[in-house]
Amino acid sequence: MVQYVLRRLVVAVPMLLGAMSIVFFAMRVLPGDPCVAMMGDQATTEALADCTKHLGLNRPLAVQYVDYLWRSVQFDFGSSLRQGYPVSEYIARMFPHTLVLVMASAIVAALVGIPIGIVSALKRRNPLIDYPLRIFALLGLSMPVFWLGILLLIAFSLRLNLFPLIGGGDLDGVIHMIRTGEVFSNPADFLAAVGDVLHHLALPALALGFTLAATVSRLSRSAMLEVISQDYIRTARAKGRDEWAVVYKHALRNMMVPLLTIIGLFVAIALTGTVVTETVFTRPGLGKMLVDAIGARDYPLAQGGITVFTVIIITVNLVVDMLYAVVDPRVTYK
Amino acid sequence: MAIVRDATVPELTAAGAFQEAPSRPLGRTLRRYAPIGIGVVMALAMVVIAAGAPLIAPLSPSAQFADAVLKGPGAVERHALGTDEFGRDLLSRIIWGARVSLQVGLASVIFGFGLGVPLGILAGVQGGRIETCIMRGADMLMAFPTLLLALIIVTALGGTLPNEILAIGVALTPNFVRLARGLALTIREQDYIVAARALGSGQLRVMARHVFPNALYALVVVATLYIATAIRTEATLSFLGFGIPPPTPSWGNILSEGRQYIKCCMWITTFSGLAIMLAVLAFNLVGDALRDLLDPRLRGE
Amino acid sequence: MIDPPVPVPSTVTIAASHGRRRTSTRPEPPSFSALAPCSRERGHPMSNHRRHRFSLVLFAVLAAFTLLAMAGPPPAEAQKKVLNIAAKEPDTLDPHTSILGQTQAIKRFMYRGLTRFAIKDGKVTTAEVQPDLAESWTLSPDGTVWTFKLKKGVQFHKGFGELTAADVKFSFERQINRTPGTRFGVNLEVIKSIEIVDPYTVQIALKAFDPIFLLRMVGYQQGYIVSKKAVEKFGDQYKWNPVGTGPFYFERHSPREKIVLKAFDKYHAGRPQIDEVHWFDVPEDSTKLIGLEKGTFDLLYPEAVTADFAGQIEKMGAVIDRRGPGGQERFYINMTKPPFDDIRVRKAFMHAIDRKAIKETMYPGGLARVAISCIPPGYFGHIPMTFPEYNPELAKKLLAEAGHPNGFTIKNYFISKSFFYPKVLTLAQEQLKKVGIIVELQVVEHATFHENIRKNLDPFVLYGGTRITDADPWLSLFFDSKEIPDPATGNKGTNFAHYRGMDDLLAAGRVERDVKKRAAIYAETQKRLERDLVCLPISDVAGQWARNAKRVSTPFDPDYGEFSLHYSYNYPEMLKVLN
Repeated sequence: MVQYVLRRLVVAVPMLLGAMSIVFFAMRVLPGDPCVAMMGDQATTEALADCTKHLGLNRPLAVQYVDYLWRSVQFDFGSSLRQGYPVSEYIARMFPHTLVLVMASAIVAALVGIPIGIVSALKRRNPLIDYPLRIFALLGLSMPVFWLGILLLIAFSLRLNLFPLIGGGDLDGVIHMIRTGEVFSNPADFLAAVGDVLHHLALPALALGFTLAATVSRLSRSAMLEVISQDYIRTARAKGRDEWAVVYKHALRNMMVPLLTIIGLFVAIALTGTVVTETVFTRPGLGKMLVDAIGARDYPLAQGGITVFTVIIITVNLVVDMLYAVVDPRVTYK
Repeated sequence: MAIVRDATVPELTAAGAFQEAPSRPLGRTLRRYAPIGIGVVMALAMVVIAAGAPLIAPLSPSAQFADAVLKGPGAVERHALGTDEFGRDLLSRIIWGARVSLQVGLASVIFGFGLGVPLGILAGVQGGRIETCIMRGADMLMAFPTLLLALIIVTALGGTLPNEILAIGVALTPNFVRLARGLALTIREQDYIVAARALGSGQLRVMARHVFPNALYALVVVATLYIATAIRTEATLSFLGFGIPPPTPSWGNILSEGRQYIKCCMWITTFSGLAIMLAVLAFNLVGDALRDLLDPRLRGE
Repeated sequence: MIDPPVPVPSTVTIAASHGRRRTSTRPEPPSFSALAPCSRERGHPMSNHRRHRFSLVLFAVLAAFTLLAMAGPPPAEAQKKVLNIAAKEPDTLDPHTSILGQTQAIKRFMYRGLTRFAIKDGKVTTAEVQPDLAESWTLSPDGTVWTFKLKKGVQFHKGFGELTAADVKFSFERQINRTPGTRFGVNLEVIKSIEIVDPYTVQIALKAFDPIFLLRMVGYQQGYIVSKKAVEKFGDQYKWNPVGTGPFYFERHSPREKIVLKAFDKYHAGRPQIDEVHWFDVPEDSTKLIGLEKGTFDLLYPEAVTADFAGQIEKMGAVIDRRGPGGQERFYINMTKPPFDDIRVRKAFMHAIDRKAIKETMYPGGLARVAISCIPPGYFGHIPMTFPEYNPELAKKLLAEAGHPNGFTIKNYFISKSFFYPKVLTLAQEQLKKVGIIVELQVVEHATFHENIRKNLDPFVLYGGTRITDADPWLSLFFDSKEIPDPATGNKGTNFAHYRGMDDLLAAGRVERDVKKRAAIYAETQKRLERDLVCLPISDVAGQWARNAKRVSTPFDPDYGEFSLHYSYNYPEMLKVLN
């Protein structure tokens, strides 16, 4: 087991370096000069020259590349070309918002998707229930996240005025309070801050979660189908047990493990969704930060952001692979 | 390492499809064929609309009618779905938008298929260094979320139709590589392959004549599902502003433009969003249906 | 269609007799199906059970949703007067380093300069200045030495002490010395030396007489005075730890979310009525509009004020504040790039463009005015010019004369996807198509666009913006031969027309002391532009933003009652929150 883990880790490192190199060169290939981007209409010749020198962009590419790799290994991603904050600080501030969004969406996806998948599997013989559910699932899969998000915004934020329009809530406050232990000394404030975060999270999580729920429901349906065709289910049914009890006891329990690993996967999957969701709902987060950075040619920030994304994806996949191996020793791995 | 990075995960859903009974009765009910039928009809309709856009669209998508700015559906006779802020007919724009979306959707998948499948089969059949090399490359690309990879490529090359196709195609290629390799691994253990090799067939021959045709069914199912993904990715790229430039309409950029008017004139976002959804739905249905039809094959994965 | 054959015929019969079809391939023992074919009708215990469970879940979900909807922040903050602004997040709060107009807007809340734009007859004008941090000044007879007397007792934020001549000297010298990051040093090039006579007296010696020096000293871009102690203390981090003498001070910054400013009690002209300013980062105009209506925002700085935007503002009962001179959208035609090197082609181009139509589509009614000169109104030296009338027939004729009877195609024409660029170009594209000039667009990022136009990749360039309100800086940037962009030499200037025809006049205008004679020089430059047809201005767009008049009031008339360069209010301390 340990050998397996180590082997996987060893493989992951060059993959990560390779990904980071791709990122570096991809950024440099992009046309457009960050200095011109920053200065827009009012850039004069000299000002641009100053800017380029100041940002170290006039050094030879090879030098910049080596410098980038060396610094990244030490977790120094440089500073944003636009605002000057260290990239790691940006990421540290944006990450919680994205994390919270991904977790909330995963919960929504699970709460909506799993029951639908189960019911759809159980009631697969009944077209009145099965088909609407499957169509519902397919709709979620087909609907663009940004469209759903805009519709939710119009309905619940604009027309009904139930939810806020922008922002991520007082997440900084929540984190601060946890760090300093104010959670215990001032529980009321803490709950208020948490409430604020949730208030801002509701619509984006719904939008993103609903589109993910579709896939979750399809997977739960398949997993459920596989499980209930097993012998022990048939035996239980033949013995005349209440179907629900049979399902609950045996099927759900056996289904949970593969489903959990799938939901773990969604952390990685949902990252793409956060890019669009954060744009539509004007939330702070890694996705929006990344798209903006690419647009503004803010190399260090874009590089740092993409690196974080790929690290997360590689890590989550690694963990899921482990879980598979732990759960099912039959899994053969190379 | 198995890296998953897409919300729709076609290969997972394909693999997860299940039949309750191992053998199927020959006759089928209307019910069974219904979803296939609907999906195929919708997808075919989309393709026909896209191909026949010049003939079907009532008006030119870029013609600006200054007297009919931001009119609702049906408010003006000739604009069935309304107009946008430049006075352009929404119905015509959406019909022409189908062209872009479908072209990108189909071509990028063909690209990914054409590039990824041979590489994957090569990796699966050859094994050894070649396999490691190809798979490492594929895994490195897989570490990037599809959207981000396509976004970077489109930004680097510029937002034109061929570049979008290339970008999404490249982003999808590693998926095909992995899938094809997985299938090749399974198929190569089959008896007839071993027999063919024993009889002295060359590697290339084996791959082309035996492995590929047997993998084809599963690949086609997944490819169809990826068309849906590609259409959605194109719409997202256009929505974020990285796609096709004006005045060429694309569903994503119509939706994006319409976003400024969601308060007063919801029809722009509504109909373009609906178009995207229906197209993605259509190909999902077709892919699902194909998978159900060809299921016994997939079980061998 | 035939039903799939069912293994147990009896099931089918019984099911049929109940008017219901049952298909099943499940290997259930026949007896069960026979005995309980219509489980639903019998009120199977399971179905009740499940229904019960489902409604519970449904109820729980609805309850959670409702709870979340109500879990907003408590309204306990109603006591404070907070101004909520939706804009773009500034790159930096160091006034000497940020360029983009919108990011300059926030500086005026925190900083001031030696002079300010004059308030006369209830209006703010950019043509005159009044004392601000300097209470008086004198000019030496030869016009090269300015002596400023500073107001006494002006305090910096956060306890950084009193404003002294040392701060003034430091603020200008850091820019003249081209401290990395500073962008406006070029505006202070006229300065030869700065001397501190005493803590409240500064003497600035110029290299030559500068007619617009007092304009340069206005609290805008290079004119802002920063705290020497603060810059020295924070160094590189000063951009996010700003210290000025303005009515508001910087409290905190949540990246990509908002900046919070608080009222400065010791502001030399009196504490503002507003307690706090929340500057939100909102990239999209649609979101801003929704927020204004909902009450989330009180002020909006939109990317572009369009007809629809104005209409929506009107409908919700809000107000658009219009501040001249604003920016001018115009075309520069590269006179060295064929086929535009032929003046007939340039004339044809201008005849093909319907300026009025573009302006009306982009900015109907009062949102903008059709431009009447290559130097916008409100700038010293501006006079009206005449341009080729809209006449597509004449355009076609001229093209034919110049050897292009069937028009021509421009491939790979780069245009930015941001702001007004794509819209204006789309309109122009349609108009040019009618006379046979086909323009194939390549929409690119704003950054890429700026890069490409400096590589001379576009034969004509659409450009926008505003500058200090005098003809000299304006013309110098766009028509001085020194500013012709050239990728070979790395010159990234903005003379997109590649014009060389007024260098002599510009040089003369810079040293002329007589105001009337100066005006005549610039009148002559505009005549030359009329003759050479390299510049076609379309719209003069006033700086505009939306305000919820029921929440926020300003003492100046919303309709051109205040001219400013700040893309914002000159005097935010005069804003009042009404409830």
